Amino acid sequence: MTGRLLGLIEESGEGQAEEGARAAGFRWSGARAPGAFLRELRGDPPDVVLLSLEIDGVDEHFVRAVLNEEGRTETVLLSAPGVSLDRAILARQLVSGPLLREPLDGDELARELRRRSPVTNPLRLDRLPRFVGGGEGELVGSSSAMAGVVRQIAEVGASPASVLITGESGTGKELVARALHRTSLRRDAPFIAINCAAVPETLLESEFFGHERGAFTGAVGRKRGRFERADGGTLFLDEIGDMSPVLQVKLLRALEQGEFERVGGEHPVRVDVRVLAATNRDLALKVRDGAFRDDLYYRLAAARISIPPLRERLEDLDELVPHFVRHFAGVYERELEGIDGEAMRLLRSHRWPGNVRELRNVLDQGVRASRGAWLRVEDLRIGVSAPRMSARGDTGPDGYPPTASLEEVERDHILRVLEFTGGAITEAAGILGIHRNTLARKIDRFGLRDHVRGE
Amino acid sequence: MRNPCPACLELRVMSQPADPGRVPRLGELHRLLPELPELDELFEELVGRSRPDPRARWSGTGELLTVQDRQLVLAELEAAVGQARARLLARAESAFDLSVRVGSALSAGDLDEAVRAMVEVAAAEREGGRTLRAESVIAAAIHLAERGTGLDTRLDTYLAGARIARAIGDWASADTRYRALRALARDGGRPELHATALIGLGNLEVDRGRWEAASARYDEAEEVVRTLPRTRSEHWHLALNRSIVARESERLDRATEHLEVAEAVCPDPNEAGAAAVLLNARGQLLQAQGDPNRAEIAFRKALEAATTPDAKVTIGANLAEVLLARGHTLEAGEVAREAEANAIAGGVLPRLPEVYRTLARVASARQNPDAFVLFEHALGLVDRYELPRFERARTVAEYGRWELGRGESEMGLARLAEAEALFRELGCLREAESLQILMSELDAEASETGRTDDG
Repeated sequence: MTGRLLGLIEESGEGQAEEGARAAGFRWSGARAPGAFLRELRGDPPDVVLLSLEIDGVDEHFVRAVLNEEGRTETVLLSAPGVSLDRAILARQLVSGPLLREPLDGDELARELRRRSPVTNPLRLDRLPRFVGGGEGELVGSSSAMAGVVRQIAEVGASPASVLITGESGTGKELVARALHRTSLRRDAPFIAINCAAVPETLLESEFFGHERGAFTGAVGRKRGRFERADGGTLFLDEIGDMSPVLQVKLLRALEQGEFERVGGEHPVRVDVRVLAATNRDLALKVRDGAFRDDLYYRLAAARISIPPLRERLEDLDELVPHFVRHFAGVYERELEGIDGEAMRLLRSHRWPGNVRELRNVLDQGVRASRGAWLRVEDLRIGVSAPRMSARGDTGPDGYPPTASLEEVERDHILRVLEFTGGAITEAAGILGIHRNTLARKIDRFGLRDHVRGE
Repeated sequence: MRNPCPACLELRVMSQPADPGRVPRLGELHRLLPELPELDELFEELVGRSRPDPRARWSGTGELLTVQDRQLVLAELEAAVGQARARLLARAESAFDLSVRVGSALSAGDLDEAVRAMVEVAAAEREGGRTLRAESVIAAAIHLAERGTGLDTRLDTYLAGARIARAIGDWASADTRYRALRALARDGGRPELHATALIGLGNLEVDRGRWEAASARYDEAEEVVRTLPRTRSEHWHLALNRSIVARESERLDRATEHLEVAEAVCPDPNEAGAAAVLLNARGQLLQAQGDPNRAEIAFRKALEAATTPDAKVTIGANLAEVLLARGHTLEAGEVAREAEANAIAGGVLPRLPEVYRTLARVASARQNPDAFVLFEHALGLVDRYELPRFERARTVAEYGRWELGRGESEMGLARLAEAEALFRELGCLREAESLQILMSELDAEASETGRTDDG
């Protein structure tokens, strides 16, 4: 049972009510009188309430009192056999949705319960403990996989060794790096990060080591590089696998000798920096292929921490989802009570190719789009393949705008199927009804190789 | 060795060693192109046919992407080369036709026809974003027109010349041409063009941040506009411009009054183009009044009403700014990305530096230390499109502020000094002075710190 239906109805209808509630995954509790009903409503707030307008004492004032307690019109159901038109109109004004007929029909009640939310396993923010230390930028999750990561951070954090952090994009490699910095003796010195894949090759050397005035066009002043700014602290090199061979040599020299020269400079600069590196690539494979220097690899990977993808620790969603929802509800000034069951089911069924970063973005957009007290399925734009709705909403039945090319649709569908199969090409080819080799060619053509699991 | 022939270029690009399964980025292709203005056509075609790198979506580098990071599949590359070649040939043909038309007109002694043909070409070049080429054609046309053409021809030539000079930021030439237009229109009994010239002269002052001078020009224009029929667009254009000047001069009540006049005298304020302009101005005014919530609503409506790519880019950037001010950085980034997409799809690539400045601010607000990548791209595009030096000054000034924000005082001050010199050279005294004040404050802080340290 994942939800509770509290009712105040004729005794004769309780059997059907219980049956309908069970069919929709709800636990039924019936109260005998209005007073008892209100006491129970306040003591243990249900997910949905059901009131019969035929019960003595259930009038406009009573319904208003229930609505005030409950705070939502969409989770209150009313039933009535042959009430007057005036009363029916009044009821409709108070509560959204149709009146249920009496005698109650279990199937109709179940349908109504399923249609309304929360239907299954909702997460109420006020009933969940706040994650200790779960501010923005903190590691969240108590799964055994994450517990392993936290244990490794505690083990190597205080040592001066360089650490190679591996994990898919969006798993939180920088958060782990920051956690390592915080647990080290360098915690009061700067933590400086650079994403090697984001910075164009032509700018990377100057960004690493700095430059002297006039060293090249645009060098209007002397600039300290990230190495220099991290002196005494930690330098985090994200996406290290994308670094060019030339820069690898310069980085190795800086790491081995603890000194470097600014671009256009003549004098060496000495620094004391602990280097943490991260990659979503198989760096060992790159070393084998000669694309990454083995001496630099061993220098960077004195210790290693591997972060599991979100799909392998879905139990952490129970902490991650409320954590992000609370955060964005604050940012967007939304008064959310929680995440409804359908939405949670959707979140749990997704494979999260973009990991926690994707979850964060989905919930950011979802909270921003939400209008009621509960975050619902329709608020969530989930899945990397889901195309954006245009401002005018002029999209086709699959959500694609009429201007979408066949190639875009094909690419997104292949991506969606790969997510579904967890990156298994053979299975995906079976679903798509094409030969495995044909699919492999399309995967290469569309640049989807990162979404493929080794088979 | 440089080769301007697109056909040879095609062979050269195709002969690059291919990495199977990897789709080349636009920046990589761009580096292969010789630096010839003739190849701008090809670059624009390549941009229009490229797509965002799907792998970057969750890689953590997504917010730093620029046009250079977009991907181009082989089939699109082939099509782009073919299309660019066809357009180049068409332009060569039209240049030939023009020279024949101008030559025939001159030999027949029809100076008017020769000048009209040149004005047409200049307009086409400007529309295609080739403003420098447009300027060289219109300068020759003006020279010819002054040798004795009819009134209408001279008026049209001066007006086109003033607008082109303004577009490339050559305010001195624009000023001279608007003055010539003013005198000619006044003496020739053409009040609508007289008003246009005076409004144009006011706009030039606005461009340079000289609010008082702009107000004086608009006062003069008002005298003439009053004589025009109420249905003429000069009425609401002038009121709108006066509202902008009042807003920038921090006379917000006056700005509101002028905007209300503009809304009242606009012949069809519900017409999409006019609605977009008026709503955008309303949004900017609300923002200046410290009401970002209503400003956001106005910008959203303006964006919905906007019909031209140019308007969509400008309003999108404004909406992103207001979202940024409200702390909604993710949505600000999304909206700015949509502005980027509009600039790319609409072929208004010279607007991209403005978008990348906004994206840099978004990345900076999200504490992304690599936000400089976006400033660098903005500067690269300013150089590539030989945009007005005012655009470079604005970009360098913002870059400098960002450098200061991350503790790079020397670099930040050097950039601010470069921007200040540029603004001063351009006569934008307000911007120059505000930068000078900032630099003096920083100098004072630095010497204060120095004294403390010494003591």
